[in-house]
Amino acid sequence: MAEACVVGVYKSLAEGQAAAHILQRAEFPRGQMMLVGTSTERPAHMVEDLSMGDDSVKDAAWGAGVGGVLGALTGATAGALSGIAVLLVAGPAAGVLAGAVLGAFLGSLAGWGVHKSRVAHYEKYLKSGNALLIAEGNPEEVAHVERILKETDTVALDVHVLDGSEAREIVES
Amino acid sequence: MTPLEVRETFRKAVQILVDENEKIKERLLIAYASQLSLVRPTDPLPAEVADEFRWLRYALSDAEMPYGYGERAAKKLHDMSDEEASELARTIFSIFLQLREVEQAAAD
Repeated sequence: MAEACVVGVYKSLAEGQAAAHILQRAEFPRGQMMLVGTSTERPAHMVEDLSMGDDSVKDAAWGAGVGGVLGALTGATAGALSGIAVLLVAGPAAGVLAGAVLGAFLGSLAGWGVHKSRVAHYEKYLKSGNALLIAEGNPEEVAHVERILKETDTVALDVHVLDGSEAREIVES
Repeated sequence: MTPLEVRETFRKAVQILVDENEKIKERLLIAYASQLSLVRPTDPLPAEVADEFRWLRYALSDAEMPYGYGERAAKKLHDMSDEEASELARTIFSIFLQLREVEQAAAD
């Protein structure tokens, strides 16, 4: 079970996708990442058919307590991203379903150690069209991810630990 | 990091610069963030490349953790020209070659 997580907030799903790619180039396990967005425009190469992802996609999603609309990143350019769980809470799932999916996702954040007070911030970010990149792992892995993502163009970057205490917010712009 | 790990990190950074399809600034961001940002100033860099790496590091990022100081790589790259980015990419390749030479000299 993950002991901590990093949540990176990006201006768009495409920027979150780019950050996920950087983590992949750093050999961070795909199954420990999730990209969440509300954009009605999906990044190129993203498909909705869950069957195109491998089991790690489903495992990551269900493990996070999310039963929403999932896609797997596939395609030529984004082939290396295949296997990352992607949660889209708008677009095809707009309306009531989107609200339910968003609610389920936000509710599941406690499972990643995200403090309640921070969940409301993430909801605002998502509703404003931002994307969240969540990477979970042990403290060493999370420190590694934090060090990498701090070089990217985040709107905010937080570290959370599973005991519920909220770590520092290290970027806010 | 051990000297071997430092050299391997630079090899991976060079590999990224070569095989990514993005523009030079994006390639440089991927190479720096995913690899070179993990090399710490205290890691064992040979004297031959220490100054060059210090210059490279500062040119790409002087963001300090916890946040509040300096600029991260994404911002610095955004503000520089493609020519400047290309020069930094060449520096990464040059440091990698020097690290290999130092390693081979030590092995001989």
